[in-house]
Amino acid sequence: MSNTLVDVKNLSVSYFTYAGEVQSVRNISFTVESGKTTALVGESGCGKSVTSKSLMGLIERPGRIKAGSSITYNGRDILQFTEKEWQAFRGQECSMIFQDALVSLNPTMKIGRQIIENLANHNVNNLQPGQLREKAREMLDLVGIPDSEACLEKYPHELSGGMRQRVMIATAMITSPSLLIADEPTTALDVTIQAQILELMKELQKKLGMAIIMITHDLGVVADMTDKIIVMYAGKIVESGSNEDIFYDPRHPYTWALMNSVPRLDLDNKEELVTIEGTIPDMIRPPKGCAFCSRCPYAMNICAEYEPEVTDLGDGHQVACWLNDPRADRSGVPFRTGGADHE
Amino acid sequence: MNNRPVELEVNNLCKYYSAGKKRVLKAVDGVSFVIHKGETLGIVGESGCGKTTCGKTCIGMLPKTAGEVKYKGRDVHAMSKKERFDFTGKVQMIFQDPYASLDPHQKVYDIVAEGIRIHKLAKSTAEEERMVLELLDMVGLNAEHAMRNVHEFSGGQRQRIGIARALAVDPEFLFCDEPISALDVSIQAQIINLLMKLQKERDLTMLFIAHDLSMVKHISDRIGVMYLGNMVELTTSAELYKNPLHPYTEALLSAVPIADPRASRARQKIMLTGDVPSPVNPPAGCRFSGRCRYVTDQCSKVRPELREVEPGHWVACHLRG
Repeated sequence: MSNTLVDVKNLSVSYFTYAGEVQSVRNISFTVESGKTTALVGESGCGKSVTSKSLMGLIERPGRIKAGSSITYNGRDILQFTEKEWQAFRGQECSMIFQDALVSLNPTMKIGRQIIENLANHNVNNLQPGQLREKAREMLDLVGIPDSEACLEKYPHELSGGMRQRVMIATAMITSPSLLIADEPTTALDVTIQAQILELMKELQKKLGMAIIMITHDLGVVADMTDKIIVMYAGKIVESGSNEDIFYDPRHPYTWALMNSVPRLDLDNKEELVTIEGTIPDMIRPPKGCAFCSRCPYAMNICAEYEPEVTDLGDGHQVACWLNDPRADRSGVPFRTGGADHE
Repeated sequence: MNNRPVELEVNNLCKYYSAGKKRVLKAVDGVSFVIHKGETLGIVGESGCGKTTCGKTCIGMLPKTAGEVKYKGRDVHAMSKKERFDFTGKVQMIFQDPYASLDPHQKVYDIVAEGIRIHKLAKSTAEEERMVLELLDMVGLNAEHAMRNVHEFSGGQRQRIGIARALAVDPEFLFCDEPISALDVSIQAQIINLLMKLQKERDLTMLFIAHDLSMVKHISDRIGVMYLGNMVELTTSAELYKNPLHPYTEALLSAVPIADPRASRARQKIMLTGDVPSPVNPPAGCRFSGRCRYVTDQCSKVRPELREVEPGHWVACHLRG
C-alpha cells in the first residue's frame, strides 16, 4: 500500500553542555511513509524539533547523535553520509520550513533569487537561467501568490506573514523533494491565515505527492490533515498511531491531558479545564521510571521505578504506559476518554 | 449579569498614530462597549486589529485621540494625580510576556510587595510579609519561592508571579493582555483555571484580550470581535459561537482548528482570501469589505454602525438587521 520512506531506529540525541548531558531525544523509533503526513506532537522541550533536525543532519555541537542510532532514508543509512552527500540530500530529497519566515528568509536577497538559489544548487536537469526563473515563477503561482512575476523582484519585508510563509514553502518545494519537514509552520500566524497555509499544504501534497512531517504543539492543527500522529514527551514517544486511534482511542494519560487542556470551541463548557500539574522533568537527570510519572494522576508504584514497555495495540497503535499492562489496576481510569467524549 | 452596575464605559474611543507624511494610522477607530461589575469581556481579533491598543487606552496607559472612557463614572483620561493614584490601586494589568514584564533584578517578594508598599496597604513589615505569602499561596507558589530571583522560574510560574503582583493591591478590575499566548497548552489551562477561580472569589471585573478564540470563549461572558480598529460584533460568548452574524466572525470561527478530526471534517470552512489591509489606508466603508464574500456596493461606500439587531447582540454589518 504505502512504502516506508524514513525509518528511524533507536535514535538518541544528547547535548553535552557544561551543566551536563541533556538527553533531548531518548531512544525513539518510528517510520514515515511516503506521500503521507506524520505529525510529531508535544510541548516545548519534548524533543520534537531535535528529532527533525537529526533527519536533516543539522545536529551541531555540543549536540551529538549517540551510537546505536540509525536513520534510513529510502534504504540508505543517512547517518553515515559525508558532508557532500548531505548537501545533495538537503534541499533535493528533503526540505524544511520553519516557524518564523521573516527570520528564515534572507532579508537582503530578492524572493526570486532565494528560490532560484535552491533550484540552481540542485540543478539535475541542467536548466538555463531563464528556465530557472520560469520555474520559480510557476512555483509562486502554485503556492497561491498573486502577481508572481512582481513578487520575484520583492524583498521578504515587503510581504505579509502569510505571504512570506508561502514563499518559504515555494523555496522548499521547488526541487520537488520527497519529504517536507514543517516545524510549527503556522504557529506565528493568525487563525484565518493559518487555515489558508494548512489548506495549501494539503493541496500541494495532493499535487506533488511528498511526505510531510508536521511538528506542532497544537493537536487541532493536525486534526484533519495527518495520517499518523506521534506524541512525544520528555524525549520519548509516549504514544503513536493513526489519526483515528489518537483522537478517538488515546491510551496515554499525557495524550488525554493534551486533548482536554484545550477548551473546544464547538462544545459548551464553562467548567474547569483539565490541567497537567507541575512542569516537564529536567532532561539532564531524566527520571528513572516513566518520565510523565510525577505529573500523572493515574501513576502507580511501578511507574516511578521502571520505564513502561511499549504495548502494541494493533494497526500500528503503540503506547508506552504501564496502565496498558494486563496486571494494572485500571479502576478509576477513564480509558474510553477521548477529546470528544470527555466534557 | 446585566443588572449589575457598569464598571467601565467606553464611548466612541479612537486612537490614531501618525505614520509620517501626514498619513494617519487608525489603530482604534470608534469603539464603544460597557463592562458590568463581575463580568469578563473578551476581545478577539487578529494581529494588528487594535485589540491591545484599545485595552491600553481604556485603562489610561495610552492617551486617547477622541472619545471617552469612564471607570465608575469618572473619565480615565482626565484624572487628577490623586485620582490617578487611586485608580491604579483599583485597576491592574497582566501582561503577555512573562519574561519581559518582570524585573530580572528583583526578588519575587519585592515584585509582589511593590504595589503593597506604594499604596501603603500594610501597617507593618510583618503584615506585608503575611500578605505577600498569602498572595503567592493563592496563585499556587509557595513561601520558599519568595526569596528567589525571577530567572529561576519557568514561563508558567512567572505568569503566576505576574498575577500575584496584579492582585497585591486588591484590585477590582483586571486587564489581561494575552496572558497565556506565550505558554505551553498544559500550562495555559492552569493559568486560565487560576484566573477563573480568582475572579469568582474576588468578584473581579476582567477585560481579557487574546487571539485564541477557544480560550476566550471559555473564560468570557461576552466577546467583542475587532477587525482593523473597529468592533464588528459584540455578544455573549455562547451566542457568538452559535449564531455569528458578522461575515468576519463567521470566517474567524470556522478557521479555529478543532482537535477532533470528524467534527473538523464535518463543519463548513470559510476560507478568507488575502490579508488584513493596512490600518494606514483602511478601505472606505466597511473595513472588511475587501475580503467579504457577501460584499455589496453599499459596503464599500458606507461604514456600517454597530447596531443591536437582537437583544444583547450587536453587529456592524449592512446585511444584518
